[in-house]
Amino acid sequence: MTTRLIRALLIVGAVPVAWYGLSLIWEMSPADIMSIVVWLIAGLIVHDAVFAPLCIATGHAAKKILSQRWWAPVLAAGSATVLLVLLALPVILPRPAGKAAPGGNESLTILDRPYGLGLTLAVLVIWALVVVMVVRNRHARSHPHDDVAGVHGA
Amino acid sequence: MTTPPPIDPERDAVVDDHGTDDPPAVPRDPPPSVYARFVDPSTQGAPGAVTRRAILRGAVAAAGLAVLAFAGQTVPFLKWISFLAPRSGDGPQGVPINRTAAAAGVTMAAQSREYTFTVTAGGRMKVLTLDQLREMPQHDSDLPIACVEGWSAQATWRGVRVRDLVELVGGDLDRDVRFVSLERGLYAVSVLPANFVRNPSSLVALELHGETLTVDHGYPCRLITPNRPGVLQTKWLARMEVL
Repeated sequence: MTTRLIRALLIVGAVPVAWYGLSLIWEMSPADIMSIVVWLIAGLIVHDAVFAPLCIATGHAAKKILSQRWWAPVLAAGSATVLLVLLALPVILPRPAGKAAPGGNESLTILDRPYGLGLTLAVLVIWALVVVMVVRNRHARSHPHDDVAGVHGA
Repeated sequence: MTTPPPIDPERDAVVDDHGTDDPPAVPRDPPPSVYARFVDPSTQGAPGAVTRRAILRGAVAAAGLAVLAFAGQTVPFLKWISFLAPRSGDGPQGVPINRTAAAAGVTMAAQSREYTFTVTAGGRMKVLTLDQLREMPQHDSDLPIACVEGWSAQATWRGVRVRDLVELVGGDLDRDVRFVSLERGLYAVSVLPANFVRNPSSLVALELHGETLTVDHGYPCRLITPNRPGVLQTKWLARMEVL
């Protein structure tokens, strides 16, 4: 009952919002609308036909190679690493020839951090945390919690 | 996944307790979804297993990481950790610059000895030199540059109140004011609504953090007003017109 109510509320809320969004797109020029459609379709294809199969293959390989206590930390760290690398591409990739920084200027206050170093450190920290988690979990398993033993004994 | 669901002896024992008349013990839980079977075939609760909770935690952590990587562009105390932020938040006089004087093509005109600032209202007009602007009453405003690109930087500005300039030419404070830059292009002109004109924080700024504006910050003078996007804080002002 509650689930149905929540679903109904979501639909009632979402339909007008979707309608408003479509009405905004509809005001754009045909060229812009085509561009949106192309990006949507391309994004779908890249995700479902390239990215998702790669993830599944990596996951299957990792499950065969790694012992079970590594799975969860490695999955979390792997997702975080992929996310960070994707987000970093705009600031790490070299600018296309002939294109200056956004805004068409030579301002020194944009792209003014050591992005490669920052990304490397972040990824190192993430994978160091993986090792910490695995070691901690192994410790937890070899020293079962006292409370659990108490419950079973009762 | 063909692994059968694990049999939990404790649960079966509880079901049997209902009596011998009950139908044969059947698992009470709904069958695991395809997703759950794929992610968590037979290891629910075991240390290190990929549980639904682990996936949710991982997703939340990754989202938090993505926020941290950029949030320093707007949240000053996170500046040091936002390792992917396109702008570190630093710049000449402590404020980043978007459009430089060179990019706007105004370096010469802005630094010319002939520079004047024109104020008009109706048929009346006053032409002020930079020194005359400096001789008018100066006021401080603590206002951010908030760019639509997604960064902002707080700053202390000093200059002449917009409303003082309007009154200097006998203009009406209930009128909007158009600001025109030395530069040409998309953001060369902005119109300031009358309520912003009356706001005592709205300045034609000559100084930033106690120093004369650098040419990239809009020398000789620029508009700075509360609650307006950075592109409308027109730099390198040439004239203002009470409409």
